[in-house]
Amino acid sequence: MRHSSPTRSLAKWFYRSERRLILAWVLFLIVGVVAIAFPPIRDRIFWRIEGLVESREKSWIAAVDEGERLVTEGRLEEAEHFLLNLDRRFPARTVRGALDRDRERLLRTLGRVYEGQGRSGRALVAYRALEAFDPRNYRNRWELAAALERLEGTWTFPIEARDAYSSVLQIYPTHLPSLRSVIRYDFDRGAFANAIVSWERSLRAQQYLPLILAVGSVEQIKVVVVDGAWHDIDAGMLRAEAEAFTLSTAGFPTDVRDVRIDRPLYAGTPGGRRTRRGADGLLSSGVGDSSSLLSIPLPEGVSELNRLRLQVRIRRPVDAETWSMVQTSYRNALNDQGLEWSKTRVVVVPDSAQADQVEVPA
Amino acid sequence: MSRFPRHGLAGSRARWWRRLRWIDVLLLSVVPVAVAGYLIAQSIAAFATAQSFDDYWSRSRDLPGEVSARLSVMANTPRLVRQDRALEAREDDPNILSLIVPDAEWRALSRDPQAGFETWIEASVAHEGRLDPVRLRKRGDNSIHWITPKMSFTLRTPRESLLRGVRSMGFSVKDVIPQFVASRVSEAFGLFGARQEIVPVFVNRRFYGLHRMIEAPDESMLRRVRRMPGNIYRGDAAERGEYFKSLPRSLFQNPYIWDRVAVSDRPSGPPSTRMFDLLEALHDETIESHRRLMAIVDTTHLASLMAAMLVVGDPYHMDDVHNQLWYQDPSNNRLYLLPWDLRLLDLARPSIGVNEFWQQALRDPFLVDATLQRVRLALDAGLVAKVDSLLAVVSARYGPFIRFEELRGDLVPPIGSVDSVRVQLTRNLTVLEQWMQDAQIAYATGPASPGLRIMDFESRGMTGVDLMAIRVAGGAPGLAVVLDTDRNGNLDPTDVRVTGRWQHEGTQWEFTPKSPVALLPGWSTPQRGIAAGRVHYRIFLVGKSRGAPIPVLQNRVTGEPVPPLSWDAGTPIGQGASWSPWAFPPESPEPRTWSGTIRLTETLRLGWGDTLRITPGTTIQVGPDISIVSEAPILAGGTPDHPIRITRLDPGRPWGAVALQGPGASGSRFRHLIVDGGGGALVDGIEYSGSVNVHLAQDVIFEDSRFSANARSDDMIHVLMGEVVIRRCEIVRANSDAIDYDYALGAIVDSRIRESGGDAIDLMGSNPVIVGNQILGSGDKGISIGEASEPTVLANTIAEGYRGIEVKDRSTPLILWNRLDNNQSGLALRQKNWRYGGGGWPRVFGLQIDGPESFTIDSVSGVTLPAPVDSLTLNTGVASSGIRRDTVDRALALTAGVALTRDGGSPQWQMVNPVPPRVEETFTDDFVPMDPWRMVNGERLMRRDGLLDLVVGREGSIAREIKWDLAVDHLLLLDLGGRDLKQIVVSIMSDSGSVILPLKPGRAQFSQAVIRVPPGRYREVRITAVPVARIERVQLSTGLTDLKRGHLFLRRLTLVPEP
Repeated sequence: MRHSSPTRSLAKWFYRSERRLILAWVLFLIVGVVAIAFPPIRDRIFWRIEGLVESREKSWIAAVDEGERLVTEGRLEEAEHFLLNLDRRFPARTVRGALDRDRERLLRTLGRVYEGQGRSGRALVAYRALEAFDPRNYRNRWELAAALERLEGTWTFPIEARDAYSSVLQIYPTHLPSLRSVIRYDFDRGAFANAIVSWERSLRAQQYLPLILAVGSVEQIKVVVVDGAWHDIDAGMLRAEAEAFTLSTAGFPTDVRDVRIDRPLYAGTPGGRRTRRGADGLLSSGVGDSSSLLSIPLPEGVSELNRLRLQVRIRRPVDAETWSMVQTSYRNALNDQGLEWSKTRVVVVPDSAQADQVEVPA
Repeated sequence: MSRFPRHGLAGSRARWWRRLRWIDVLLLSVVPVAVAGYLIAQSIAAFATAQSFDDYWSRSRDLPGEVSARLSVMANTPRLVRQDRALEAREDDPNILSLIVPDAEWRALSRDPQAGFETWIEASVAHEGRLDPVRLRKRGDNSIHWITPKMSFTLRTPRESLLRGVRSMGFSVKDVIPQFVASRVSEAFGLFGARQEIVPVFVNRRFYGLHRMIEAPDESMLRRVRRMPGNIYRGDAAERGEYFKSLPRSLFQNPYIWDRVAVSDRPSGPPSTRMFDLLEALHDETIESHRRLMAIVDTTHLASLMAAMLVVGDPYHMDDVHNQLWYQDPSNNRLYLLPWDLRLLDLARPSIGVNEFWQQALRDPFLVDATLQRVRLALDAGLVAKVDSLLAVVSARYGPFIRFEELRGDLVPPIGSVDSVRVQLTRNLTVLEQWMQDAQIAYATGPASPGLRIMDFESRGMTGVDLMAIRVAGGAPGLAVVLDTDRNGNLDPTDVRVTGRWQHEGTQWEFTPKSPVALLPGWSTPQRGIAAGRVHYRIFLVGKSRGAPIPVLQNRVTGEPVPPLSWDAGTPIGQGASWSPWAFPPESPEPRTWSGTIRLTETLRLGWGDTLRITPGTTIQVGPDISIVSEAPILAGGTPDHPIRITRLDPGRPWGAVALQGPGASGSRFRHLIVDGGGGALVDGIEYSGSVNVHLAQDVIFEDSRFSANARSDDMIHVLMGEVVIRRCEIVRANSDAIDYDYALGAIVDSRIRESGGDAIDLMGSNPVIVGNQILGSGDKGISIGEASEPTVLANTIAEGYRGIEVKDRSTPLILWNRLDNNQSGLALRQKNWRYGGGGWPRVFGLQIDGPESFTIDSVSGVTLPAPVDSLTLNTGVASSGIRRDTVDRALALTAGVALTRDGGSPQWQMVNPVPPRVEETFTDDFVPMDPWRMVNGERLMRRDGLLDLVVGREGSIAREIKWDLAVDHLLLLDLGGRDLKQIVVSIMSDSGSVILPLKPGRAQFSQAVIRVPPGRYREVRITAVPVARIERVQLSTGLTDLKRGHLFLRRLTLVPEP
């Protein structure tokens, strides 16, 4: 059998170059072995590969960004196709995956796409998938509840949405937007007793705020319950020098009173503990600015202290709309006592956005 | 001239080179290249898998590490193969878990790191020749548990077939040996929690890995550790899938991220909001709230837990975000923190600080002091020797498996090593020894005014000191020593004067306080680790003294003298975070005496240290739902003519409960008491389900008293984790159960119990002695013995009720000479609660049953009968239960039909101190290996259903080594059974000969063999079984006949001194 001429010439070339090929292969093996055996080279290779793997992980995040961009640009058809494809291949299939937050972003964006297309059934499927992906994220529950309210309701507030808002309150009982929705549902139906039950359950829920108390260079964290009642704070320290102390309140309306400063005792030296009272009256912080500091002056002439005592009251901000519904519910239920009790625990602010943004730092 | 050609060598090289073909080179190199390529590809894949998670384990993985792990395994392959062949999945070894899992499902589970957390796989456990069904799924909170070739998993069994007594358990790959040892250390401190064992796991008959078995912390666990079922709150929100995104993560700042793994929601029980109480008290800054916090927990338990955590160097891992398990004990409504996931770390090199709870709790100087005292006690009790012995056992038992794991290197999570555990524990104990020595106390003194001197102390070490004495040159004895208990630095009338006495030697006077003044230490916790804090104490010396006082100080833990550190007068004294012990209000005991008529219209609480005496003839009228709750002893001594009465203030409505709560009420006495019309109560979150209740109090006696007509409540008398004697009492018309003992001890003697709505005597996990009672007309059982109770039931008459005696759920009572007359059914043995994994199994002697249905038994229960009945057996049995020997005659008389009467009012038996058995061995279903028993010859030795089972085709025997050095005669009691056996021979071997007892298995399945063992030094017990020859049976599945095997069963071995 005769070979075609290119094959023959290739064979000829092969036989002619066989020595060289063998040499090249052996050389390649030697280089490989040296590269593996020589740590600086080996490490560079491995780092390079690690970098490739890591960049592959990052590419998923970029892909979700791309999906969001498509939605922002209004290219919904394209975004749907892109996100569905991404969803099928996305590495974080359970919340245990490192890209869990990006998977949540993906599902949320997909829900927005369907909503934008007017396909409410599919949108709800996406939001339900989002909630099922990590039901411990209250924001996922809230997304579903809000979507149910937007998409399921015609002219009424659907009970499914109310239940979904209630499920947010199960893990985050002080979440004001959800509380507002639950109260509105009952309020609109004249179920004032139910509205009061939801309100009081939320108001009684334990919420703790870590206050950062700073005296000069000394800083201490004091965790105080947000319940509208006065609580003692007792900050012992070895020694501090300052003219004022500050409290960072994370935007919660905070009142301070009864400030007392103890100056130190001296070893083996007579003289009792000297206590000075701080500024009289009530000092209050504003609402909403999470970075705000409440600054309280120390009495003049106090050069050093080793114990600071004060009383703090932290209340919850509530928006005027919710408060109006709560007030009316109490009045219609002839429950003045409950209303008075509620008043001691909240500070009403006109704007719901201002009230909603006040949260205990996660 | 050379005979060799020129360039000969070069020429041969050239020939070799010319003859070399490309294909040869390729063939020579392809295998190593392929192997290297595969190895690198696998490493890259493993690295990529790790990168898809972002916890501490996955982030610690890198590609060079992955490659070198695989290279190392490759190098070890021959040894691994040899080792693997040597590891055998012995199904008769209870310590080994042999899993049979469908291959495809197991592969799918192993391949996909994100699959298998939610769905269960149906699998089986091969054990003793049978396959028990189980379900399996992945477990773990981070990727160490699932991205290596050895993964962690959870097993769950059906209720009816528990696996070694456990239904739900985890098998963890992480830190197998160190964490196992850490769990044993916590047990050595008397802490209760989930059981852990080292278990070699085989999957489809191949060794899979050495795992750490962890029992699920649930109600079954509580029952195993003899705790009442109650809530267990779990805070575990650290890793993805567990934490609540966007919410405060600290468990101690967010009660809504806790759940419950054991749930108790009895409508009449304590509310399930105890964690809310804890968190509220935790974040308040007053001493009152601190005391409230410490009243919610058990400080003794906390001290033991902290001590154990210090020994293992890990007071950190039970942190603010996970590993929190708190048990709410219904008996006192307190919370108990369960040890969970304790690691073995270096105490001297802390990486983080303690959690928020411990930061607050360790502000308590009493807790700090108790913690180091607890460490000292444990060390004195031989903790080091115990750990050494444990490590030796681990090394010997798991050696081959450990070697296999070592050969796998970094490819699988490290299991730890015995040597490193020993080294680490030794280091930690050295650090703790230093802490215990560290009793630094600074001291400064100076005159305050004429006749007043200040003594300032500041505790600066890890341990505290006792002020034993104050030496003063001149001026005494008129000097007064006063503590600045209000801590304002000034001498005030409210400050407490120390009592003591002055003595002098020449001009030197010495004041010795009546009890040393404790200057407790403070620990500082806000930073990383635990460090010494500062606590200031000021003491005034009132009166004229010439020289400066010199304190005599002693280390509170070691008892060594402590020289004070000098402290410059005038130095400002810092305010540490610790509470001063003087900030705690002193206890002020209040003795009370009641006589005449007392009307209670609000619930009375008697505090720790108080006493209440009730004089004869006193009548206490208690208002509706009003209770008496006493943490102090009540001494109510009525007389026959002038009994004490507790009765209703409102005849139409029941009062609440009389409750003795806690160890402070121990020693209470009630004589000639008439209790009528109680109704149970819920007071301070504690449910009192009886009219009269004893919770956690010991040595309580009710005598010659009458209890009747309770309403609403479950029980007339309820004893919960206490020790109570009820003697010569009458209990009539109980609403439900008349006497209810839960995890309790004591005795019920010579009492009459009539017309109870439920059981006359109801036992749960209790071991009282029940002697000579008359029980008539019970609506349910006369005596209900359940939930692993082991009472002695002697010479009782139970008549006209629904059922005489019921024994259930792994209860093993000794039932001697009782009469069951005209009950609807006599003796019933059964399983009721699946959590115990078995039925009742009494040892019954001389039971007379007269009635329609005398005896019922289910398939999982059993009974041991005497062979033959003799007084020796009885003497021995009752002696270990604390009944004096003369009961025998009376009991024997009963069997002869003699009526149950008392002679002249004096009982014919007496309760005496029980004679404890010298050796007692039973066989529980668990993961613990079978030793010390071994099969000498035979076919198979198994441990199951609470007994050892030797299968023999021809003569076979089991043996165990013993080291009995007996100075007096002893009796060896063996609960033995057999099936298809001709003979059983028991031999006890000594240096000078053997004691041999041949036995013939009777018709009864089990019998108790009694062997007198004379003084001597014994080294082995051996039991030999001889099967009945040539019994054949036809196998239904194959139609073939095979030889039927004989079975020897051993259920219990007891060695007692002969009474």
